[in-house]
Order: sequence, then structure tokens, then C-alpha cells
Amino acid sequence: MTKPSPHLDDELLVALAFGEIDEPRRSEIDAHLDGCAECRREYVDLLDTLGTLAYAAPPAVPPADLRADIIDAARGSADAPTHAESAARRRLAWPVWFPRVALAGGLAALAVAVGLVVVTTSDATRSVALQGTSGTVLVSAHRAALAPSGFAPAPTGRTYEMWIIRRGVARPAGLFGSGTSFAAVTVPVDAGDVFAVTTEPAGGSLQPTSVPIARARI
Amino acid sequence: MTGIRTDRTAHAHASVVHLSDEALVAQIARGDDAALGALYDRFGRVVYALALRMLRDSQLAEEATQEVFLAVWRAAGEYRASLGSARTWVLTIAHRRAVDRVRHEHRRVSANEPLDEVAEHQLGDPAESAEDEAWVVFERERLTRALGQIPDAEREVIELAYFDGYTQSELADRLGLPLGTVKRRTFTGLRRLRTLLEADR
Repeated sequence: MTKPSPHLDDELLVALAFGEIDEPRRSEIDAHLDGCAECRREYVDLLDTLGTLAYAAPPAVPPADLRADIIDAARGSADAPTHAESAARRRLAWPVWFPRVALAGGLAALAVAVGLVVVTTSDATRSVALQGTSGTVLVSAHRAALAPSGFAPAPTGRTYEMWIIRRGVARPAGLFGSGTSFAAVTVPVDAGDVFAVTTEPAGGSLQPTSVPIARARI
Repeated sequence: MTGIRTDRTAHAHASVVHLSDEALVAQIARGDDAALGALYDRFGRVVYALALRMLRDSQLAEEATQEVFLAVWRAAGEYRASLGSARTWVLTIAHRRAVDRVRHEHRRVSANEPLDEVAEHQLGDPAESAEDEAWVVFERERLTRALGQIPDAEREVIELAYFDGYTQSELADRLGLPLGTVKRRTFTGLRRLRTLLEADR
């Protein structure tokens, strides 16, 4: 395996990951990364670790209408206010001391935050380790999600598909690709259900067509 | 047969929530705003929390979050899986946007600076407020454990660079260390963090 040029050193990779390299040096480095799988892997690992750091920020709940404002702005509708404008209007309408009531999208979690004290009706989340391939199923009330960790890239033209099996019937519960950090299980779950993952043709199947490579009892 | 066909149609038209992060980005590149919404549902909170931590102002954090998702909307076609996961791509954009604001608006503030009142009401434990935040909590706990295990000197440079937006040379000045030492500490610390995070999966 010939290498295009000497490898990028660690210090340069750090500067690059923090976005501190400007043109024209940046283009030279990009060209090197295109041709050198070893440096690319090192750089991607650095970026990935840095990205994970975002989760160390103190948790905060954005305003509920930020999502709609973003989608309106993306659609580019001429009459859509920018978020800054609607945020200003909201502040006029809602005194800041007013307790924020957050209703999580489609879920039964109702939390009323008064000051910094949060009162909630949501159940605790538990995690169940996968058998067969490493990963964790997170279960909260009747919702579940998979944090896959040991899944190799799916073969070309295939995808991973999740299933919830209850009384011998498998229901499709969502697809995920390799490298995904988190996949929501798209159907409700109950204690005693079996969660399974198979590989399926791209686009997914309505019934499993291969043997599960991972499973867990919820 | 009819039943099966109906199922297939439903399957094909099923919402995008079951897609992988990468598939969502591909849908966004095709102009699918439902996919943008689904991506926001996965990463909106962490992007906002990061912006609020770095900018310490709810208004600026909202603007930064909106900029991030609009940048994703515009640039989705440029995303390349060879340069990392879609999650890393989104979080890198989020971090760069916030760093730009920190640097250009000279809003480098300490984590101890009081938050504005709106932000005070937004802070809270997502584990307590929403069940779909299980992943955020999971990731946060794993990260906190790992950060607690790396040497203080390495954690310090990583946190100052990441959350406060100091460049490597600013850090060298501030800490009175040679630039090479700062870069090496950052690199070694991030390596160590990665190993710990992988071991904790």
C-alpha cells in the first residue's frame, strides 16, 4: 500500500479537528485525507470524540416552537418569521417566570418545571444488553430505542432491521444503518417482548428473512 | 394479496423516524423537510444545550441552533460518509457555529456566569422531562464517567478548547505552556477519552 505523502501528524490533526486550519493549507490536507485511509480514520475518530463532548453540556430544553420555526425557515416560505422574531413575540406573551410546560413530542411524559425543580410522571429508563451482537436497548415505559455498538457495516444492498416479537409474531420496528448511534424502535413495546435484529434487503422487509444476529428480552 | 399490498404501501410511506442518521441526511438532501424534523428530534436538544453552554444566552443559543439545522438543510448533499457518521457531522457543524460566535462576538464567558432567566427555565435533567431523551442521558453519563478518568491537565485543555472556544495558541498563552505541549495534551486526552468511551459501550 503506497502512501500519498507522509502522514499528517497528531498536532496537525488536532488543529484540523478544531477547525483551525485555513486555506490554502486546508485544501492540501483535504487532498491527503482523500487518499490516505489511515489519516482519515484518525481524523474521523478525533471528530467523533469531539462530537461526543457535546453531550457533556448541561442538559437544556429548547423552546418548543424552535422546531417549527426551523422547518418553516427551511421551506423558505416568505411569510415565515425567523426564529428570532417569533422568540421575541413569545417573550412578550409569556413572562419568563411563567412555569414552562413541556410535552414531549407524542410521548406521555409531562413535566412541569418550576424554577429548577422538575416534577415528572415519566418512568425510569432501563437498559437491556443485546445478546449476539453488542448493543443496548433502552426501554422507557412502552418506548424503546437501540444504541447499537458492535454492528459491522451491513453488506452492500442490505440493511439492519429491528423487530418486536410478541406471541410468535414479528412486527417491523425500524431500520438502521451502520455507524448510527441511536435507532428508535418504531412500535410500542411491553415487558416480555423479544427485540431482535436481522439483516434485510435495502428498504427492509415485512417479515424477517434471515436469522436474528442480535436479540434481547425486554 | 390486497392486505400485503396495503402493508407495503404503508411501509413505503412510513414516517422517516426509523431511518438511520445517514439515511435522514440523504433524505434532507432531497428536500424532505420531515427528515429535517426527525433529525432535529434526535439532535436538537444536544445542539441547543451545547450552544447554551458555550454562549450562555438563550436568544443566541436559539439563533445558533437554527443556523445549525439550516446549514444541515443546505449542505446535506455535501455530507460524505467517508468523513464520519452523520451524527458527528451535525455535531461538528454545531460546535463550529458556536465557536464562530464565541470568537467573533467575543462572547467568551465562564461556565459560572449566570444564565439569563429564560435559560434558567430551560435547564433541567432531560431524563426527568422526556422519555425520548434516554439516549442523551445515556451518552452524558458515559461521557461524564470517561472525562472523570482522564488526567486533569488533559481534561482542562480539552474543555477549554471545546466549550470555551480557545484556539490552541490562545490556550498556550493562557496556560503558559509551549504550543506543542497544548496540542499534545489535547490529542492524548482525546485519544484516552475515545478508548474509555469504547470500553464503556
